[in-house]
Amino acid sequence: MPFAPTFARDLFGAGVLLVPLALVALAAQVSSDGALVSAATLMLISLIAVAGVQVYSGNSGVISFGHVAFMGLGAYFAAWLTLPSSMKARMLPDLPALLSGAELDMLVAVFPAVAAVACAALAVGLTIARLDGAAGAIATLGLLVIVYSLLIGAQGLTRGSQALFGLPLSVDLWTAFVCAAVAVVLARLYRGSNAGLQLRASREDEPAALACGIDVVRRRLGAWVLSAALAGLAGVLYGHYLGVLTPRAFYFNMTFSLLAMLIVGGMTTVTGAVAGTFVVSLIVEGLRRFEQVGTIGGVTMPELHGLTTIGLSVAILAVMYKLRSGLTGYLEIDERWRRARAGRATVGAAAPTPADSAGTSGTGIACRGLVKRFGGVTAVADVSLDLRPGEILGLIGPNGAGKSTLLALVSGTLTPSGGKVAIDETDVTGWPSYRIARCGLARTFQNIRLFQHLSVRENVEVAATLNAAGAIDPRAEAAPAVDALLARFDLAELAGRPAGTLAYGPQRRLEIARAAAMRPRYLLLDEPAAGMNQTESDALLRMLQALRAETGIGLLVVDHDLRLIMRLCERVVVMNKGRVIAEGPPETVQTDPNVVEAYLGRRARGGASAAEDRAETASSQE
Amino acid sequence: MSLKNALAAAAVAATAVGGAGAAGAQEQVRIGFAAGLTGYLAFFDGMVRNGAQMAVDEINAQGGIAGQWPIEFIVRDMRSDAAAAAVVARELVAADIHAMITPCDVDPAIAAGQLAQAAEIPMMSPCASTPTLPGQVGPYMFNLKTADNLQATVLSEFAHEQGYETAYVLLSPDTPYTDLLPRYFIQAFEASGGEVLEVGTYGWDQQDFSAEVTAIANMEPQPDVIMTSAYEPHFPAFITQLRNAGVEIPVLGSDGIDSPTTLGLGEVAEGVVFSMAGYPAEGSELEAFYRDYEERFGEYLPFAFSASGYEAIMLFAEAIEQAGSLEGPAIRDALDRIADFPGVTGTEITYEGQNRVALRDVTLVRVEGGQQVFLRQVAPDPAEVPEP
Amino acid sequence: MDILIQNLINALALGGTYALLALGLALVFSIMGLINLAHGELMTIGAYALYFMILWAFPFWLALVGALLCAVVAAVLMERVAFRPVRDASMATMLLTSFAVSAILQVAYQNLISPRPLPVAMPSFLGGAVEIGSLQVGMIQLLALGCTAALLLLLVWVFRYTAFGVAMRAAAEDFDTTRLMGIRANALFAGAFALSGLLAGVAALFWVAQRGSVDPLMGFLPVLKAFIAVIVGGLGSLVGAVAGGFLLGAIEIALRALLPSDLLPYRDALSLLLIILVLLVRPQGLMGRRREGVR
Repeated sequence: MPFAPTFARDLFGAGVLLVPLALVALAAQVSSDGALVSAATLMLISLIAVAGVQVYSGNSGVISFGHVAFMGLGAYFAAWLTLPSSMKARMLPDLPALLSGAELDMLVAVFPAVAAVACAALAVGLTIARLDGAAGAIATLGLLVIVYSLLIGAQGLTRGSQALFGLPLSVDLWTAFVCAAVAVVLARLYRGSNAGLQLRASREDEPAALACGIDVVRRRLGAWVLSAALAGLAGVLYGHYLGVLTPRAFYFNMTFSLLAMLIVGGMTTVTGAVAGTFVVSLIVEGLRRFEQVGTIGGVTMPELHGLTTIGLSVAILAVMYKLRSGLTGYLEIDERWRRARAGRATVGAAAPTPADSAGTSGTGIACRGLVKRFGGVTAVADVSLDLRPGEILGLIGPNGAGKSTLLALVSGTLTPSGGKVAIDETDVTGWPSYRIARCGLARTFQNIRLFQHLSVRENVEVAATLNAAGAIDPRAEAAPAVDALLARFDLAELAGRPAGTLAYGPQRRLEIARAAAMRPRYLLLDEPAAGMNQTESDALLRMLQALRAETGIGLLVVDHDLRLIMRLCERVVVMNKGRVIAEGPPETVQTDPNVVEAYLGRRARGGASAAEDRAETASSQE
Repeated sequence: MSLKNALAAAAVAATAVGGAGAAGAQEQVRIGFAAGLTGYLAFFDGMVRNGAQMAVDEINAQGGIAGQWPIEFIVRDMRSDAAAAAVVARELVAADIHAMITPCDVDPAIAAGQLAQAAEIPMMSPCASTPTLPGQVGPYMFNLKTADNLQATVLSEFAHEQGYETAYVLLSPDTPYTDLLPRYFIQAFEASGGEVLEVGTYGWDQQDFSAEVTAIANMEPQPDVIMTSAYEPHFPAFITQLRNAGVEIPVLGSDGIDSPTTLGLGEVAEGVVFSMAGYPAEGSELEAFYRDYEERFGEYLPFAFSASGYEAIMLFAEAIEQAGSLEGPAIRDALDRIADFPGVTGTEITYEGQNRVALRDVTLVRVEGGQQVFLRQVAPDPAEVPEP
Repeated sequence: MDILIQNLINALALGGTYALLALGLALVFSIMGLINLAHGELMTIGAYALYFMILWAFPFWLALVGALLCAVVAAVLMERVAFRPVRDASMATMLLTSFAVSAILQVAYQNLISPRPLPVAMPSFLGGAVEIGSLQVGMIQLLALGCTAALLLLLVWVFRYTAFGVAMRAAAEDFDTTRLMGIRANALFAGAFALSGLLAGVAALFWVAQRGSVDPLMGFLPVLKAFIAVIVGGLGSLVGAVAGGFLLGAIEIALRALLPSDLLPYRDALSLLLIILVLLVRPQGLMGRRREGVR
């Protein structure tokens, strides 16, 4: 096994981030100014927590208000182990004997404490990882409030809202530095790992990530536990730096300042976490000096309290209003350098065939009596359809016929209200879409769903690593296949660009390349030629034919471009109003009176019923 | 390398701006105050800060302590938060202070205190009144305010004199002050023959007292008196809801409600009796002090927190003068020997033989017509004071 | 028996305040997707207005009107100044923005008004209790109950029968469609905020009457409770928010009245636990609609 190159690259990226950390720590040490050392130590401890939040929120896109709760748990867990037992006897009467006797060194206690936080996070995460976006954020806010209430309520274990004091002051600048370095390295490695890449893909577009075979919930759970552990570590250090704990220390104020750091810097990168922590700490320290009152050098300063809060708030508002992705944007600093250096990607000499397909064996996709109802509207009514291995099947029909809904049912994006779907005789009805994807089914979407802020290469990589899951470094393992696919779909030149910046045609090609990268046995294409001109559409035709010839893949193509369908497909199915109305070779279907009536006739009328359009859009947006 | 130097230089410059420069003049006495200038302690610590500043200016106008040590008073905001108090205390210790004033509540006082204790810096808590505080922090911590057990004893004596035989006590386990003072009261009240019918509790995050008030209103028999050491914002909420539910049982409070809020509540606070550090009788030294305060800060605030701040500085000055040195242990020992020091609150303050808990008189007042009306200033009978 | 009835009244009064706040939160959320954590600061503004107008010897009724007016104006300003730039942003962005706005306002109150609680003395005709049978019911509690009920009924009428109300409800259901119907978005947002400000103002009056003082941080706690009420009621459901508010009030009073004293410290944790139980049974909240999500 060669040394994993992506791992080395990420390690280098993390190393770059450690330089400013080391400089700050050194500068503080050299100045030997107590206030400065204190500020630097606290900044490093904050950085651990911020890096922790970054691991979850940055990669998953779900803002967490709850990590400060894990800080609190970590701090209290460790305090149970490190407090002198005489103090424990006095302050924490309900502590079990095992704990009340322990007087561990902080450097020992940190391990069980962080492990306990990770266990707690796992338990909570089983629920929270299921939630995305707003619901996820709200659930974490709930977590914060609940843990706060528990810490206050469990008086015999925490001393309630009174301060727990007497923790050994065993954290100094360099302990904090080492732990911060560990946190930054872990966060950076996670972001670059296959799991991190998959989670970032889900942040950009969850349905597409699922269709790429990514178990989003599991990825979120993993990141959640890791990030909570880092937050717990930060909490242990914080407690043993201050020597005193109160539940109120781990509540909204702390949450607010950590999020300010992360968001100002840029949530999606570890570089952002580091930069944000630096900048916000500088702002806060600077403002705190202005808050001091009394006479300084003979000048009486006006009283202005809470200036630091104002500073934090204004920083947050500025970022929210003007710079949503923060100071550093979507790229790590080392990624930025690499991109600047390698403007053009080196195209591999001979592009080998992308992937000898997973084979043409199998019996195909079989849909039997599929039904989907949305409230009172039946979008798909009793559809049975087969896609045989190696076949190119066309699916056409007027707007609102239920084509996209059918695709969503087959690929598991929607659950059927009735009927069955089987892939190569495996009944996959009701399976989540990532599991169906792993059965060898890939798809593209009507409204292109790319991972906008990932590079073109990463978009393909996410899908390609599905087949390299067992490797030590799946991203490296998948690299040759990715190179080949980029070349085949004419994307090699664009490999480093964020997918969202591509023109329309390349976006379509990329989506197909991404689907092909999964080495599926079956590929569902939802309007691949939409918006293409004739030249582009012809090129697409050739590309798809070549793909089938090389891999023996079965294709189901939905499109309004009848010219494309008739030339590409061996068999065509026509749907209208949720039902199949005709099926057969293109020539036959074209002349079927039902089709002419329902499809072409309607088209001749020129107007589409608004209601049907809306139903179609609604179902495709699910 | 040059970057590192630049960083270090910038850092030093930044610190110098902050007035915490390491290279202070030798003969300055630096007294630090980790103050809650924002948050729930702002009212109390703000007054302490102002009072202390008055003492500092007064001493400096006379050429400093013993005519040779001018005071530099360094105030840092700890946002009413124990953890932030520890941060601020670290900075103050790093600024080589010679003495420290701790915040007005016990927890942040402990948080700050343990750091100063480790650095052998004498500390004064001007308003935290928990008598166990000096013991918890260590030999460099001194209490100044009337201790909880002294207040509780005087309140209990008063209750008996009024003929109250049964009591309802409301406490909150969330701070030592709201937890311990009522418990001392229970001890003293029961030791002298009274009966506590019921003990209610409330939470720090609670502003609705209707369930507790309902419980009191339906007690059978009704208690003769209600005792609590709740302060802001809980006391105003409790007394308002209690009176508005038609419960007219007399209420005893403690020095936490020695504030304009209590006096501004109108009819609901009428008749409340509470203990405090000193009463500004006409022509008294305390009244003159409050007038000076008004002249300086534009507000007549007859609440003892400012006087406590003033006394804290004056006690430090006395100790430093007695010690003739700026060494922490020497100042501490001198402070521990102080006896019958005349405080501006109108009582004598003694530390000698008191385990660093100030021995002083307790004043009782009653709220009448939005004013404090003086009831008495007494030293409680030592036999009745519960052990801390 | 008396205790039970009295506690029922307590629960209704406390729950009513939560319900008013929760309704304001839900209204704004359903229309623009913003969970406004600065809602509590609107309450504080109303309370300060009341304090100052009483201090400056305005007639009491005028002070009440002034307080409500202040809250409404502040709410509309808040939308215009702080939230318009993030109107189309994600929920998390808006949530953080509101968090920042809330923090700025709190600091502003501390510096511009006072860091300490200011006493608000209610006029004496509002004090005391009324005898109803064997019951003694606080005047203010009674008024709070009456006003909350009246206000909620009024809102039902507004939402059912006025053009403004119907548009508001439609926007809460489906904002884009409402826009297509030709109703100006700005007017809707301003309207929603004005209404939420009014509700916060009314809640502030009761809260202050019960609390006796105004301080810069007083808005945080009730709005946190209201937020919980909105969640348990079903995010985006107006009726749910009101139901959630009353439920939370009932849970809190019940726990405080019934818990044995050694469990009392856990009352907040327990009330959250009960809320979570409700959410486990109905993840979409009491009145929320189940939505078909992506799996």
